[in-house]
Amino acid sequence: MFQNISIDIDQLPKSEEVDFHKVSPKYKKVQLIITTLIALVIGAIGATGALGMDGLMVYGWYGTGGLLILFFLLRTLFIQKAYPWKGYVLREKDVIYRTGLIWRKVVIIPFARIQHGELTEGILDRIFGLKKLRIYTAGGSSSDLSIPALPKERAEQLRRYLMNRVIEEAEEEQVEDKSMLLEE
Amino acid sequence: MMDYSQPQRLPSIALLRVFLRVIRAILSNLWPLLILYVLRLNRRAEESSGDDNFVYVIYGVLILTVLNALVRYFTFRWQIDGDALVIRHGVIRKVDLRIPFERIQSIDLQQPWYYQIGKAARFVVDTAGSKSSEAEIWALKMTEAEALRSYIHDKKAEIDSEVVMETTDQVRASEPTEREWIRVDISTLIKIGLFRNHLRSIAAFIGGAFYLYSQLQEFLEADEINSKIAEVAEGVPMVLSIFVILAVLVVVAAILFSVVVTIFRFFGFTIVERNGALVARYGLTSVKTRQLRPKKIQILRTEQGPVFKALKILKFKIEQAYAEKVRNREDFSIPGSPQQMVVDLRTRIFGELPKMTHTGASFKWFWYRVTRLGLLPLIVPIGVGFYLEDPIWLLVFAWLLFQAGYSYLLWRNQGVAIDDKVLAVRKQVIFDRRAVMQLSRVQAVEIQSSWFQRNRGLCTLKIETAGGAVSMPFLHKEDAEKLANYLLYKSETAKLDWM
Repeated sequence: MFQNISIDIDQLPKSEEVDFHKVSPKYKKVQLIITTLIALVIGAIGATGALGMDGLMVYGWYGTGGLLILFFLLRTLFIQKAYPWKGYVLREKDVIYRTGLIWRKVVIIPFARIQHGELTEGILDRIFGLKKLRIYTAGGSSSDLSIPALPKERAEQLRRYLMNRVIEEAEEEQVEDKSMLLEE
Repeated sequence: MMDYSQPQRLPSIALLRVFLRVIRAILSNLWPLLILYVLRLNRRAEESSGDDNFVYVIYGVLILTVLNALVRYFTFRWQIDGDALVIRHGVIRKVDLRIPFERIQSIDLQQPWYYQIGKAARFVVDTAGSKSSEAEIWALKMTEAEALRSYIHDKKAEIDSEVVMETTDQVRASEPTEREWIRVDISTLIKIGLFRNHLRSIAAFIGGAFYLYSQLQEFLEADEINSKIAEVAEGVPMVLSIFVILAVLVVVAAILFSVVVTIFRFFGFTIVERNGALVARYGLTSVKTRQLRPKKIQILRTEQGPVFKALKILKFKIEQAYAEKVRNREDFSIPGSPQQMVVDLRTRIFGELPKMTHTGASFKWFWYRVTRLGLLPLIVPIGVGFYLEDPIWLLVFAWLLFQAGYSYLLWRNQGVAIDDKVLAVRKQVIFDRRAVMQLSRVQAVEIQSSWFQRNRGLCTLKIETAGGAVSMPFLHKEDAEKLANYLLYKSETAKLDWM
């Protein structure tokens, strides 16, 4: 029977009122190591270049060194400050991920729109027992989602759950399609 | 038959592909270094001096690329796990990719020439997701590839077999139907060719004009040599008049070229609905026929400038679900069609559109845009102009005025229309640009907020579909959250086949 029930928008589930799970605190350590490595590599290149220099050129290298320290401090500060906001949550029908510090964003992807999932781990991730979960949607990469620094077991559990939900949603779609065709 | 439940390795012929990829990677990434190296070799032959740093860099990159490819080859494993294809590879960066059969759009078996000799094929899985090149088994023996494809197709068919049967019965039972939605006649094509945006073709013709001018210079110089007086008194006007004539020629040639190209490309353009599929047919010398599956249509975009508005012509573009690398091939557009026909087609796909209202974007967006695009880029020119003490630098403020006017119109004319089925968004300054999508097509919602926006309780709402995105800047946070929740509700409760 045809129905057209009115919807009270204020009664809809609110994506902004959910409790987020934080990514592993080891994320900060991994990022700190990466920042240190970047600074060390650039610093080493700079120091090698500065060997044998004199006069004003040396001050140029001091300035570059200062900028490098500033980069290191700022990035470390950003990682620390951004960490509490970075988080994810699974709801019955979708997955939400939030990230950023100066530019913050919250991305919400319904399970039924997920195409496939991927787990990746770099060397540092492996040392710290972490994995990154990447969720692909159809179309461009702009709506893809990447949740970093998940504990290994949690990442695998999440991926398994997501893929099962994708299959369930697809099966529900099939049933709904069939009933619509029969109605027609 | 292979035991798909067990991890499978790549056959040795995949090594061929590995090394060809290495060569391609080297050529595409290292060509500037290679050119430098060759030049250096030549110079060294002359001077017999120089260091070997370039060689070391090239060898280093070469070794790393080969190692990377070999590691990928030796660690590559694929298997079927339940109702999903699983691909794993990597040591330093481990990849574990899982593709549910339901999400597989198509499977291509591709045979480059070297695979044809070895009777092997690349097994490429298209999921319409981005980074689809990852979803590939580099090599399988042809027979195994065909068997695996059949296996996945069978498994996929098992899942939706009942629906397929029902659909087939429906199609067989119903009489073939046909309706023409759009027909662009020759006079409309000429109008489109005459009044479409010619900037691109003018730019192309400027190159030709410069060549023509360089040829004419000999003639001018010959005149000048004949008379010193003519050089001073008449030479300058002559050069100027040549410029004017050339400019007119360029514009006329560009417009004529545009008209001819438009006619050749879109001659006899029609969109006909045949048994539920929209079929577009167009072209004079090479006739193209393209089928648009309505269920794949994600967004319909229209654009209309003042001239096209007077002529009642509307430009439209249909964005379909696509994998990232086939984006341009899948999107479908024509530079103009009779307005009423496009509106009818839009109504066929999306139904009647609700009335447009202002998005409710804060006026702070205007100030933000004027500062970012109007004021900040002027800091350096103003500094330089002030230093040079030449009043001409005041002209840079024209840019600020332009941006202020543009931003104000953009803020004032933006619109949104939403009901329980569709969302339409409008942006307009000179051109009226609209995007329409079904709420059931929404595949992700993103709420972005900069530090500036957060302090003022504002944010930008970005709505993603499989064909593209629309964004609504500087909405009040509560409004954006309400709209996001509503869009998610509509998307998550829509159980229609969405792409």
